[in-house]
Amino acid sequence: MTKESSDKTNKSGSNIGNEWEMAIGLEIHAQITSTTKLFSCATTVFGKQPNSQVSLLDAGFPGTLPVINDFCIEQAVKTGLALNGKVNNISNFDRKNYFYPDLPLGYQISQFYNPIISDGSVTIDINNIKKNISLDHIHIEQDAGKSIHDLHPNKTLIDLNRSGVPLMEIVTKPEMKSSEEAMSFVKKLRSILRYLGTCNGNMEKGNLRIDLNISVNKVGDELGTRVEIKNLNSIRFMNLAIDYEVNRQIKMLDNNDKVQQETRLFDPIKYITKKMRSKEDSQDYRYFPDPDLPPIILSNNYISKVKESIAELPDSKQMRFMKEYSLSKYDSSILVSEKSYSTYFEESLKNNKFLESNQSDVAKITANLLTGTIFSLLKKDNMSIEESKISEKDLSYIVEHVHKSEISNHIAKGIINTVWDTGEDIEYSVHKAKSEQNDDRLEYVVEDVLDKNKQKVEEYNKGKLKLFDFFIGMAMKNTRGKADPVAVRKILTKKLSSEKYR
Amino acid sequence: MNINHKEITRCADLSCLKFTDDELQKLHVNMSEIINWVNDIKEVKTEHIDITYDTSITSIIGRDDKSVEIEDPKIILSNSNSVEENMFCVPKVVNKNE
Amino acid sequence: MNELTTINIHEAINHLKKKDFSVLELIGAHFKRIEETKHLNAFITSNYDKAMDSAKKSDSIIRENKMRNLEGIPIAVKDNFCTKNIRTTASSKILHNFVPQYESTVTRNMLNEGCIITGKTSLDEFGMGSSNKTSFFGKVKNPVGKNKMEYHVPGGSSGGSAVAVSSFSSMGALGTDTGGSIRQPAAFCGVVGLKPTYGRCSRFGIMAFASSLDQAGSLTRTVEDASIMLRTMASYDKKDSTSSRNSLENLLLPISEDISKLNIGIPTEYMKENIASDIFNSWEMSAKWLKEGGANLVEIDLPHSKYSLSTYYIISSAEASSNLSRYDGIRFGYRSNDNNIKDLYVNSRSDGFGEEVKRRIMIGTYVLSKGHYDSYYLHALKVRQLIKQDFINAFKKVDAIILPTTPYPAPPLNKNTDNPIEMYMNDIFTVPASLAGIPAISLPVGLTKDGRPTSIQVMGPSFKENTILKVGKFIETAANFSKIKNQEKML
Repeated sequence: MTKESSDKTNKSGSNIGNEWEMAIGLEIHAQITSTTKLFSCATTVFGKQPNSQVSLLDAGFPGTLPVINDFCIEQAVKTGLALNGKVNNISNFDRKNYFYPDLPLGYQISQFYNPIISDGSVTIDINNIKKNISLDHIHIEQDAGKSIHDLHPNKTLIDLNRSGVPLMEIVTKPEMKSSEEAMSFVKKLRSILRYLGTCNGNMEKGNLRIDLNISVNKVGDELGTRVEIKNLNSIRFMNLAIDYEVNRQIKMLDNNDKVQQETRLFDPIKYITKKMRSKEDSQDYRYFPDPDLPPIILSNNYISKVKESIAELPDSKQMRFMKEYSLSKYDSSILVSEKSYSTYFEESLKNNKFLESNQSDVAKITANLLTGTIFSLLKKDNMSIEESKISEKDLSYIVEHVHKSEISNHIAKGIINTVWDTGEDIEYSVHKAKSEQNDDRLEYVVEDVLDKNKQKVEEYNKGKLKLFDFFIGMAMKNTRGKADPVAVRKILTKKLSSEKYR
Repeated sequence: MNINHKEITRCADLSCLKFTDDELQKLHVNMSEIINWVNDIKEVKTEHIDITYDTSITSIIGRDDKSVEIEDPKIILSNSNSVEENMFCVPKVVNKNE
Repeated sequence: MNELTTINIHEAINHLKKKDFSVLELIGAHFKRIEETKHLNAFITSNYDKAMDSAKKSDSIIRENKMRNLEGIPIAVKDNFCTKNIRTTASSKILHNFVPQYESTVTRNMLNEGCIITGKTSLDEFGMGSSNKTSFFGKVKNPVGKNKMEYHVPGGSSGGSAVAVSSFSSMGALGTDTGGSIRQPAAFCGVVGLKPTYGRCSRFGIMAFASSLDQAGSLTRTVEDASIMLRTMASYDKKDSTSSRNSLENLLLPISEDISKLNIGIPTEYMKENIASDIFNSWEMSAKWLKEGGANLVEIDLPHSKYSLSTYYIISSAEASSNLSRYDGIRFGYRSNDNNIKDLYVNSRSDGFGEEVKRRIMIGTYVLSKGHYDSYYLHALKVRQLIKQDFINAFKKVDAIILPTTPYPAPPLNKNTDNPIEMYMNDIFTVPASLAGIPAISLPVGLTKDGRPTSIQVMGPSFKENTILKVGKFIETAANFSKIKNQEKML
């Protein structure tokens, strides 16, 4: 935090100093995971040479016309259903008219009057308290191109690769009362979108962007004038923007100044918000239904089909993990935070031969080793779970042995680290550790036999050498015949000649 | 009924057009006449009409999510008078309107 | 003027099949005629070199007996169809140097059937107007009338195409019709103008004026030729989301003229309008011919027709104001010399667009703006539904409707119309079909005393072009206009 913030911001509650409270609404722009753009067949690949992924339509050439990408509609419907929204049987596209160099048509094709999804909600969990954040609606729209202002002293350069890329705009109601809630919302939403596969949620690549709407009011009063902060491309920046803005607004109101309804930008270097020089409020977008595009009419049949295609979502998966595998809330929440984690986890369980006989133990050990050890290694080497050097099968192999008490959890962690770092063969590693542990255990077993038969030890030491076989027999009995007799003999000999038992 | 002069300058602003004083004067007259002329549609009762549900309209027909190779990427830039480093050039935009 | 330029498409195809003359001769004769009539200013760009090349190719194809449907036929194209590598200007300064690198679907269809594009014709700038006086390239002159010293208004916006066909410098021409832009100039010039059902022809590659109204169509000298062209122009195009999948019923060529037992509607509302007596007489005559031919005349009501012009001007201006936002000089077109982004936009557009275009953009912006959207644009969309419904109801009782195309014949060119509303009133009989999306054809049926054509319009239900072509052909035969025209020696 910088000097700009004051201590009026109470991070953990909805009241800032008990006198004021904030209201946050978010507009999340999520890029749909399609291969091609919303209305043109150019690709959406990130990072290519400027103006190489641009069709005639994306550049607004005369006579060109939009043709909807069916996949995008499907993803929006999927997302709407997963977020408990209502899929509208009839929706249509509207033109949002304004002039800007990276908007080649002079209008953006969006949805204003009849969006594809109405309502919806996302459940967030803060300090074990669940809260429902309502959505106002979700609509589909085109992204604009990119304006680059800093490559040339007196020119702005325009790259239209991004022009026409499909976005879902997810609009919440102003129900978030703290930056924690906002952060939790974004994380949860992102997780759901990734689960669905409808958006990659990669904020660094720009496929998830946040517009923040924030106001403050005295507790008990109506909501204050809201200010919009556009284009936040990380959760951290969103939090900083919230903190700064809340303080700025409170200061103004304390001084009896009015907060202006305006659009501001966040400065990621100074951590402040600045008013945009263009007068956003004087804009009149003159929305009207796009005459080039007939309405989207979706049958209930279609909607059901899409609903069926939705796999288990994080919340239900978490509940199932807790129930089926008796995992803790904490453990299960980590496992479901990414679909790939839960997939790995369950795949590993599937390969475990003890899953049926002792599900909760196997699950617990697996979860532990996965989230504790493997995740740390992935983080250390900056890898995704798909790149893990320990496969699901490898993990289940290790877990089997831990479950059988042939190796301890601690040893298992060591094995994972060794295999990861040295590429040592996993079976070899386990076998080696097993025998080492066996030796340790064997020592313990032998000692136990000797401790429980103190009198016989005395007799042995006095010369009854036949008892040696008795001790071996007992040790073998205690290991249910599994111990290696040669090893037992060796250890027994060692023990009997040690200080303790002479 | 004359259209408010302010509204005319606002329309000009919104549509990125400029007019001389004489042109504005003429426009004011023309536009007022035309808007007056079309005002007759206000007599028609249309409360019962829902334009989003016209039974004669069939649903939008989309396409598959398949990319089409851009024939010649240079075509996009070839009609412009001002291109640098494969990008379109405009005078520096000071307003960050993104 | 020689024989090669006065024959029709239908006749030319037969002659070419029989190898009575070559395509090269045919095209050559037309370029000669274009040169003879250049004072009419119908053409903006000539496609001479490519056309002559294509002519040679067509001749080879004919020799190999691989003749396509329109092989070797010279067609003029309105300059709002993007033709690949041929300058396309929309008759506007803002596009005066624009050379598209892509082809419109309609011209692609025509080229695929072997037709030869001789040149691009003038229009009212961006299709906005009914006089062809707003073209950046100057007025187009209509040579009708007995007084050879006085030119008349060709009508618009497809004035150039209409004059090209009526002056025999082209056998047929492509046009676009948004509120009457094919039918009205056809009427003023004495040729046949066909506007198909909305969605019949693809709009891809046509510089958009009003997206929900624009439709490609033809200007020809006979109804038969119009249907020949329609057969090639029309296609379902997946690049156009408003394109219709309705297949063109087999257009039986030649078109039958059996109109007996058809119910022909006469709209009573229009009888009360101010119509020039010559045109009113032509209307009456046409009705009489149809009755004599065995059709039933039925009076029909189109109760919302009086709101058509208002509805049309609100909707078309609004859509135009948005469609023309892409013209900013940045990626193509005229660009002003400015060092400030706002000035660049404002000056490129204000210098680049003509007065009428700017006026329509302003009106369109007004009716879409905050505070006016509901009472103007949205309201107009609803009234449009009512107008559509009027036609649906009418076509339950009748198979086709006949009415004049224009309230008066072509006025003199030098008559000053400073009043836009007066100009807009030209469209009173043509905008209803545009709003309803139904097909309509205009055909010349007579001449006024001073030699200006009078025309009749036939409208039919959506996708029933066959019906209007049938009725049109019948009237055409009955009127025998070409005979009248020849007698008058119009040219």
